[in-house]
Amino acid sequence: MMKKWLLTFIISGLWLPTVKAEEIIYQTMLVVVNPNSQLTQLSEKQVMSLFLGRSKFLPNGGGKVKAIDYPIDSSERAIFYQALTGKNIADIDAYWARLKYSGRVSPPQALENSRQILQMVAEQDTAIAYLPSQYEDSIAQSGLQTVLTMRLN
Amino acid sequence: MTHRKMWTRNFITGCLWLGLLAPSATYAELRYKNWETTGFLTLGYAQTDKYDDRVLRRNVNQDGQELHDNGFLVDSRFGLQLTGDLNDHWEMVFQAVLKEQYANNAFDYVDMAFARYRASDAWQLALGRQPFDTFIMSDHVNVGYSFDWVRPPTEFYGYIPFDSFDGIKITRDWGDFDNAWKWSLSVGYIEDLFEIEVADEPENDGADEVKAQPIYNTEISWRSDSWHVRANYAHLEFKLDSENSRAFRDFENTFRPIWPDFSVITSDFAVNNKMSYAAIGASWQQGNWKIQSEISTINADFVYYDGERAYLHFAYRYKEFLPYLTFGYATDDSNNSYEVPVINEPGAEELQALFDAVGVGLTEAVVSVRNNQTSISAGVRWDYAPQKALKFQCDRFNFDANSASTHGRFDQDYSRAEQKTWCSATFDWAF
Repeated sequence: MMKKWLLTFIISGLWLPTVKAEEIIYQTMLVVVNPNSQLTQLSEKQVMSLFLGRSKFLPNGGGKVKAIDYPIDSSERAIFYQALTGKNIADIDAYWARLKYSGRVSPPQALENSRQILQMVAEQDTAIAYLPSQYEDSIAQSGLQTVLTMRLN
Repeated sequence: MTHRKMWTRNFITGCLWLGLLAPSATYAELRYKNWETTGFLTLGYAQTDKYDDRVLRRNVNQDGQELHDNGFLVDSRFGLQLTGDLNDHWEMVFQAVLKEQYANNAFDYVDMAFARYRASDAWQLALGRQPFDTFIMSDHVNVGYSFDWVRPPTEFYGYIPFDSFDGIKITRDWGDFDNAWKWSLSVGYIEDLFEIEVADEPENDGADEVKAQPIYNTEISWRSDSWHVRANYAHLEFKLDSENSRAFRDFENTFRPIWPDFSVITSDFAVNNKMSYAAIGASWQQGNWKIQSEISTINADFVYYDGERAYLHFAYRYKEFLPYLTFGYATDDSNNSYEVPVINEPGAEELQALFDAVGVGLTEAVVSVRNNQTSISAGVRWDYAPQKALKFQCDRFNFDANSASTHGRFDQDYSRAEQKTWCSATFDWAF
């Protein structure tokens, strides 16, 4: 019984749908925050610190940061981290596994799509997220503050 | 109840508890949005040989006989972690890991259960069961997905009988992204079971209880974009009441009048001892290249554990593939040797035979904890899907004569140097 349960679990893990999101080439990625954070600008290093778990609080002395991610298998996420760190997304995932499972810090919370990300940043004072530049109008309509524009190669 | 039956019973109980935990945590996650349940799985198969050969073990906490019978137990493990942000400053972490190990009460499978107060980015304080800092570059030691390799180099990590401690840890961070410093100080207690001499008799599990109370540990690390350097120093008040210790103590009162140096032996195998451990590790990652190395030295005032360990690891990322090469090294300075007295008196043949037998036992006991080995490991990691990887690795071990190492023999025959090649494969998943 136990063996059957284990076997089912493992096989489902091996072959769970792993279809990658459609490859989209973005020219620019915008890093956005809630206007109540009082932040107007962040450096690339500060964004790296926040998205790689090195800083847990907003740099202006605000509250505990809530970093928001795209889903783990999304091309947006792979492109963002490649541009930010120069590393393959598999290395970033392994990096987060090291931090998370040694109990040090949890990775950014992954939401399903851009609409949810926009909504979360609008609702949470200490949230920070990244969005492709095609959402520039939605960002403005939601009243969010762009703190860094990352031009991708 | 045999170790195997107990392990199976506790494994099933553990699965049921973890299974119960997962849905309740998911409910909590929905309620509070600040709770997260995650987990990891490694399913591995290691080529193992038969009882007249050496045993491939991940560490000394594993039962050699179990591993010989079940090659999939060497590296397989299943962990669940519950993390909660109670507010801006308080966090809770709970992690349970099912794996083959001697200590198999339910609480022994709990690797983390601590609360942390994060005052700011600069200061934090953690209380409870948390990772033991001697695994400086590998304090995520159970999570296969987080490693390049199938298992951490056994020369460096295999002989350490602990992977978490109960206590308090204070941490200070300073600097910026390109020059980030961290210092920590911890005080606590550790208790575990481990197997010094691998045994194949069902009635003799060969497990010994080991305690360290208190432990004092301090660590400093520096990190830049490409570099990560960690250095650690630990002092442990160590208690190891092994079968050998007990046997030699039993002889002491009888032997001392006619074997004056026997007190040296009982001192070398004493139960209560002091131990210091110092290690430094560095990791460099630039572009597709990664190099990592660690060196440690351990000094003890008894016969166990006295030597240097090191490894050097190279890896290169090529798309989803990560080929790697690792060199491991372990040597023990402890060359304890004991002279057996010769009694030139008529009628003392039986006593002389007993002395000689004790002499053989002493030699075996010293050899059983000596760790003189090197290895070369070559492997490849394939990240075929997000948070899933397949790995294949072959290890070529060189064992010096008179050295049991982590990979002991069931026949305890360490009279000659040996070479062994073992291959392993794992499926690693973080979910």
